[in-house]
Amino acid sequence: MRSWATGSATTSTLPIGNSVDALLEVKDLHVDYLRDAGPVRVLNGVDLTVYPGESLGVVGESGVGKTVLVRAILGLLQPPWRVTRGQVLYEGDELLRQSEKELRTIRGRGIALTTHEPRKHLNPVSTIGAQIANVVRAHATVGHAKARERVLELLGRVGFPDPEARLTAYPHELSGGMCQRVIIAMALAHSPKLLMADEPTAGLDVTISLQVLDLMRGLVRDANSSLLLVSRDLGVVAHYCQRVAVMYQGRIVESAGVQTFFERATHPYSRRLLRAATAARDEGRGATTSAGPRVAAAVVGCAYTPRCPVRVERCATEPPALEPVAAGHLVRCFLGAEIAAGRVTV
Amino acid sequence: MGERALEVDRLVKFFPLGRRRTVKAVNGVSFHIDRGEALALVGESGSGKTTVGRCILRLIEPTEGRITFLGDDVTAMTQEQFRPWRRRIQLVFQEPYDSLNPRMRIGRILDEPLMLADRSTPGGRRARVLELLDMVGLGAAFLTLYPHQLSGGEQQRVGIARAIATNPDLVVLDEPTSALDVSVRAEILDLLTDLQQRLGFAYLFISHDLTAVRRVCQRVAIMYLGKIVETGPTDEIFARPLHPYSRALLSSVLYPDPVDQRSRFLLAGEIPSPIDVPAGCHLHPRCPWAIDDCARDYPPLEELLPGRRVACFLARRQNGIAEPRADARSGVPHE
Repeated sequence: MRSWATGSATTSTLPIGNSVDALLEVKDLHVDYLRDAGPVRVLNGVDLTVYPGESLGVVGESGVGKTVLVRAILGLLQPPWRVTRGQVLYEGDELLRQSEKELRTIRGRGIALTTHEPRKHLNPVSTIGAQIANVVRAHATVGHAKARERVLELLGRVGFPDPEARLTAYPHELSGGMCQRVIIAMALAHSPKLLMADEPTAGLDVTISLQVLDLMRGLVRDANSSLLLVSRDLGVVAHYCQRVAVMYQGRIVESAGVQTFFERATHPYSRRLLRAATAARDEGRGATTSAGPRVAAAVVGCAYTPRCPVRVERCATEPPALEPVAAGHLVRCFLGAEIAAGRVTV
Repeated sequence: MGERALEVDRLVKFFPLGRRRTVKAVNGVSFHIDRGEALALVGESGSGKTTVGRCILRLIEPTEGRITFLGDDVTAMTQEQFRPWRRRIQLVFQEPYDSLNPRMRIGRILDEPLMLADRSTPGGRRARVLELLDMVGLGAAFLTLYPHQLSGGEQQRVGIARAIATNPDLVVLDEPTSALDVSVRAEILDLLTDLQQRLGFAYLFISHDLTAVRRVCQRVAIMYLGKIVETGPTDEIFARPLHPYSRALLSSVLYPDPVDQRSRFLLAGEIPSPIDVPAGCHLHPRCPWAIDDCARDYPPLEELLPGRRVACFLARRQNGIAEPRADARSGVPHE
């Protein structure tokens, strides 16, 4: 019988540092949401790197900007959203400066996206076969018969036992899990180098979630692609990713190899998340503290300051940088080194 | 055995779809909750768990079966006769924001159930509202706020305060934490446990999330396609689920631990529609361990180990252990 451990990825093969060229690099990305009352900063300097062949989990609670991040990477944000600063480098090319036409050659072929609420992203009045065929033909000049063949192959790969029968099905005839499989089939139609999966299991039943995650991991691995998995569920990230990046209020506050993170999470917010998540497993009651006041929109220093149990004076006035506390382990906290060394307990 | 708060006996709820098709949402469900006990009703979509809750609250009328509340048969009552019982059975909703009137201040939202129960003067009610806010960890400052000014967790605290306002005997919690973020979820679960221990409510906690109910409930009933497949004490079910479906549900929980060594147990395929439930044991087309009997008959829910009732032919044949022996159809579950 297979164990969880052998099922999840090992951390030993992780590319750390500059030994491998990054596939995707997000640098200092700022995104505003424009309102009459003035802009709201949603992404506040996101730094993120995805290496070829790895799976990175971006974790955060609702409203921290995870979905905005993946949409900004693909240039899909439209007013009132606006990218105000930063860079998105895909294989060294700056995506933010590219025209819509240039971006189209990358979307789907270089980077593909699967969304949560898959049913909403399928056309309700068009058949599954026609919709996948559209995607197939978006980047390749293929005839009707050839496209159909490819659609059948894709449906088979995402686990439909009888692809032929599904060609003429409409989205409402499929379950949520099957709709997610259709979205995955579309995302993988052109063998992208990077698959970004935004909450792939949100709204799915638990026994179906695992099927979808296993499928996604298998397909990405077979194609030697990278996976950027956005989730609020630390359990999903622990089992399906090699690295973790924690997002809080529009910034990455910690990133580390998955083993390191679950053993030695350092940022006070990461620790709080982890405690809340492990409380579910441990019989004892979680040592959860009150959420405290909600954070105001404009924060000068570290956004976690109002809720942080170990804050010091400068936290409120000065933003800490994302700095290494160990090789491959970055933390955005003035006390990061102290906490990592065990001199400060959170 | 304590005094029964609630007894559900062979409850059936079918929804007709026309052309002789029916949704068999609940098909012969029996369970009880003692006074001050918390029971979890766990299942995935289509299991009928929410329908059971709605029947108990008399929001819909059961097709068959009997629901006894503190010794009184509430299914035999008219809606009018049932009205005084309503304040003794309360509900906490899944979506905290949607369940609060956006145009009422929190103080008024909490005053309403007291006013309807018309037991005290306005002054007495105000003191009770403040007491309720305090019980759920919110202060007097919340009295004048509107729901949209509260976070999701705070809104759910108001929902809980409203449910316990009239000192009910039973609180039905319908997925009370599934709309909340993890860190807030843990806080709400702690609050629910705390209130139950202090005030002695009985809970019916309806959820798809086994880990959520674990912290709050003493017993669990697991449902699949309209039937209970296993019941037992929470700890024992977590330690050793007997029904293959319970086992699959538990195995689907991804613990935040990358070196988790538990073996996996996955079910094949999709959950069938409750319109078209498979003959025999409803799980048999997805169950890797199905034996011949499973396709023919539905297994009875029987006490196979002390305090543990299981509906599974394989478990029954092997004294509670639903694991295939060497002669069973397949040895290893698929990946």
